[in-house]
Amino acid sequence: MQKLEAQHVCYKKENPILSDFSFTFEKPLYGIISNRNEENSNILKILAGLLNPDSGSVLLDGRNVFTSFQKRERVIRKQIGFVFQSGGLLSNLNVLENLLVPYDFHFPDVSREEKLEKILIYLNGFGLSESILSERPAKLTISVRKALLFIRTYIVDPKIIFYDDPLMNCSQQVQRSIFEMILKLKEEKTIQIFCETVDAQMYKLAEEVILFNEGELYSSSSFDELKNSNSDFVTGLILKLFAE
Amino acid sequence: MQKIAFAVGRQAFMLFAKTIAVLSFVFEIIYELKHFVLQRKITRLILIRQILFTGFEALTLIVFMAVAVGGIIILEGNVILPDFGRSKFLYTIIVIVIIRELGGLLTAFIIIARSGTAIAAELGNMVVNHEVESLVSFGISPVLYLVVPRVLGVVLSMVALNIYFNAAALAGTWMMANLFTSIPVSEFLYKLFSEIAMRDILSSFVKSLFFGFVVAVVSSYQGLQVNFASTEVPQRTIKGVVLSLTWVIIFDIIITAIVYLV
Repeated sequence: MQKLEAQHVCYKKENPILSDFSFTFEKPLYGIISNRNEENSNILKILAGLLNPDSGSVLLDGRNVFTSFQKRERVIRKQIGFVFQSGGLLSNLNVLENLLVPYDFHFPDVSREEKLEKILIYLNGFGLSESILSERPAKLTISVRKALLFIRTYIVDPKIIFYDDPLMNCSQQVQRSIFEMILKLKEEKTIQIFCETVDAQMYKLAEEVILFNEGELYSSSSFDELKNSNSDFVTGLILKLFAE
Repeated sequence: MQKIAFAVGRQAFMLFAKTIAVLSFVFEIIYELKHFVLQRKITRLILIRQILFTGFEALTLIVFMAVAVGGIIILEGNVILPDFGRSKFLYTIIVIVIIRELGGLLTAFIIIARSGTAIAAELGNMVVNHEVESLVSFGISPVLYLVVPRVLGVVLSMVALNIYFNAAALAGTWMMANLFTSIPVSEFLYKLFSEIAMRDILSSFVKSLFFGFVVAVVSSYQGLQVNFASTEVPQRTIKGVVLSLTWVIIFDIIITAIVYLV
């Protein structure tokens, strides 16, 4: 199984987002909670190699995930999937063309029929009909668009998947499909890292929940351990999360 | 005094930093050109759509403008030149005005107005909607996927439209000339081509290459400079238009000076 290592990662904007963060991700499902919700996305993006940290590095099997993009190490990027909170589908392409962009890029030798077959399996899994393949994203509901972001990430079989608020804007049916997929991938030992603000119950699925306070790693433990914590900070954060 | 020196120094540094950023963007485009062919499976569609939008859909407007401009030049020439006893210079003026200058410039202006604005606005909106970020997450270079096909599309379209503009403008001059005096096409073309030098064609071709490249690069760069807010999109689009116009005119002067003065 692969592992993702953060080594002394620092990133600062107006506030510190990560301060000397070192951690090894090797279990199948991690949840991230920060005392500032708006910084969760940035934490995920740094870990996924989409944002360059001010110092330190994030390594996937010993190779830096950020420089892997600059040096065109396609093999590494193929292994990292990122489901964005919203947007992300190319508006001037139809659904099929959108789904084929990463697929054609990472698997140029796979036949079109094979690709289409796999796309249809995922569409079916999310309860979506084949007819949407020729539609532009703007014509679809937000929930369907969100489901397509998941499908686009899953079809290239990444080994590490980041989810930025995965349940946001999703219908109940899509939420169910997402839960099923996450649990299936968890069984397959795919590393998944998420932050979630819509349904805090999702953190119960995580094997480890990582807590950040002002960009610093505060604790990492199971959700049950967090719930029983004596720390006012942890209790306050959990209460806030569930209240939202 | 110290404050003025500080402000001047800061402006100079910012100008230097911007120049370096634009130059590295240009070098990145040139570097990505070699990957464009390798990744044609995903980039071909963008190139075809760009040519369709910039080259094909603008054709009617270009032809209309060219015929009108050609006609106007003949009209004005026939009114003014005989008064000075210089009617024989009409063909020289047609070649100088249309082939050397207006063909390239007006085509570039139309492309800036249609495609330059569209490219800047489209790329700006793509940044705001996290579309560019999603490409990065797949490991696809936004310059390779978004900019290179647009630059190639605009350059190829610019060259083709420039040729169409020149041909349509010359047709316009012949049509208008026929209103004053009946001229057979063969005679008209003979007189016209005897005025055209090889360097006129070369200058027109080189200009269309540079103008297309400048418009596409400036518009793409401005579009990708949008950060998070959709309100930045129109601002960057306007900036793209102003800078494209400025650089097209600067390149026009430079190329004309090199071809005809050196």
